[in-house]
Amino acid sequence: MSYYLATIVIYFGVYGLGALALNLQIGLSGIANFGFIIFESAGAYAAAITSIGPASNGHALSETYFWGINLPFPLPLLAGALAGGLLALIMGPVTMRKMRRDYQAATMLAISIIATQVISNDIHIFNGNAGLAAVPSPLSGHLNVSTATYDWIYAGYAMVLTAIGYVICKRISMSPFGRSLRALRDDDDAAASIGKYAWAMKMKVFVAGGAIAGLAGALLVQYIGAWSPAAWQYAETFVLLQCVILGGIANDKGALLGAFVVGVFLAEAPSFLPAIGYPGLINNLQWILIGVVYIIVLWFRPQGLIPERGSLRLAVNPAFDALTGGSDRPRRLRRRSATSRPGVASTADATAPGSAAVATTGPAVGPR
Amino acid sequence: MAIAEGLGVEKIVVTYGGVRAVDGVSIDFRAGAVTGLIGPNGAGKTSLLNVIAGALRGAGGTVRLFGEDVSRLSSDARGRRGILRTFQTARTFERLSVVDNLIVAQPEQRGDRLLTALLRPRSWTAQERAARARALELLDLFGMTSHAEVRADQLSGGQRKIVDYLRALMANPKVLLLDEPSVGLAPGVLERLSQDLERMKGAGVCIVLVEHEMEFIRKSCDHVVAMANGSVVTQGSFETVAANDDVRAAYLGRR
Repeated sequence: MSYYLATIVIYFGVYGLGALALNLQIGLSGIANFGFIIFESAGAYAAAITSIGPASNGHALSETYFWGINLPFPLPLLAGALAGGLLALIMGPVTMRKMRRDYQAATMLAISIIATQVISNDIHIFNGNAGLAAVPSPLSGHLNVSTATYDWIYAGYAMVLTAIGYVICKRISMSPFGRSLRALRDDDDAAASIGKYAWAMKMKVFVAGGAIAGLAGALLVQYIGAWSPAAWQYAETFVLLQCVILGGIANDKGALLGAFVVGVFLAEAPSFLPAIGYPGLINNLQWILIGVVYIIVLWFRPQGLIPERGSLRLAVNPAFDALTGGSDRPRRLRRRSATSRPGVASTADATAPGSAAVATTGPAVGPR
Repeated sequence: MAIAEGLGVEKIVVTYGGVRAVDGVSIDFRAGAVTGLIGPNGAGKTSLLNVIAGALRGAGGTVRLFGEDVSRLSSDARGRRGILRTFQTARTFERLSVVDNLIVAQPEQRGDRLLTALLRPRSWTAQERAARARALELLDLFGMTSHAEVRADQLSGGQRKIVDYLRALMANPKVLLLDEPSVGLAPGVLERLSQDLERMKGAGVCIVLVEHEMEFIRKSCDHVVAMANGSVVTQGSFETVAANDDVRAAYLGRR
């Protein structure tokens, strides 16, 4: 039971990071990344080959990659993020060009399928369908704990990474840059007319999302210890897309909620159920369920459980300020201003005392 | 009377298939003045506007902004240089609030860069509040402050037109291209728009107005250019252009 719960928490982290990154791209910026799973996969492979070590380490399945390199924690994780970002950097110049969103979706999907086929069929790249195995868990040799304890430590680690991912995505989505992305998504011609350079903006988000996806992949592979093309079929992208749609498109909290409902309960939890019927029946029923939920959500609540915020109220919204540090909060001001001491508000910091009042009524600042 | 040339177009050609929608048009639009662009449907007015804004690549010709050739710049680069436009059918950012539709156009926002948004989230808040205050002032010009937090897709067609216009103002225009701003506006609102154009004119903005509403043209424009079949028929004051036989013939479809 404990193993079950820890695993669920870790999967929540993996789906959460994936959904956050996909939401950043598709929800906030309108990038129809239907090949999202390959960025996670790139991160997983990168983390695996930089930590798997030489082939002679006793595991029959493992092969030597990168001259048997075995990077210490947390470098494989960072290699995963780097790989995801790098893949986006390579794909972006073509796929982020101005094109209709359905063409973009089709292009991404095609790339995703081609990538799976190539990796499956060429055993010289990542060992084909057999994939990589015996990927070591980070610090497993250094932490002298039981497997169950280790799982919980890893779950905590996954939650920390998810929290970091959440803050990153929130800071982007609730910033002027995030607002420009929303504008671009809603009408790219009008956004261009006010000086927004669509390609550069999309590239940034594409790479940032790719890096977070790579991080999610690395987090997963270091836990399950193996990675093969079966783990990143194109359909996985649509599970993540469902997380985003069900949770609430262009809403970071929604992405996490979607990851919890769809990722954990629909996609992962059924594999812990006792077998019924013929082998693979649960797996098949699960895909049917996922499809049915898609239809139900799009029919009855297309905006998702937590819809996009209609009005952003940047810099005047206390809730947002508390999370992103995006306000002139007294605590932060104290650290910044050398003259004021704790508990003594500097007179220069006009916004320090009663900043909430200033925030809600709007400042008396003239136009630039 | 020496008035600086704001915007100049030379020998602009636009072709759609075999049709020459704009056929070698050259016009000087003066800064601090409103130039009306009139003509029957299909005269090439909107095509010309799109070429100036950079949304449409012409088959030939030059666009100059204060003497500088901007013909090779993309539409977003022209937007940053101060060539702003509105759309014939107002285009707003549907899922943003009205005030965010305006603030998003504020140029040079620090928080409009990914790394600043990520690493220095407090660095842009003061600027954001200033931009917000400015956006609310602009909305107040048209009595729309009560709609500030309403999502743009909840607005009426006329309100959208105003948001489209104010968004262009927010971006500090040097050249303002207005594509049929009067369509869908109530008479009172049109009156306010007319007053606001005077204000922008006073600030030295070069305003180009594509319009069919003749009374609005007469009131607002310092100079009128009449186009038909992709060419300039005549130009001058509203009265001289309105009295021109060729213009009348073009509107009535006779030759």
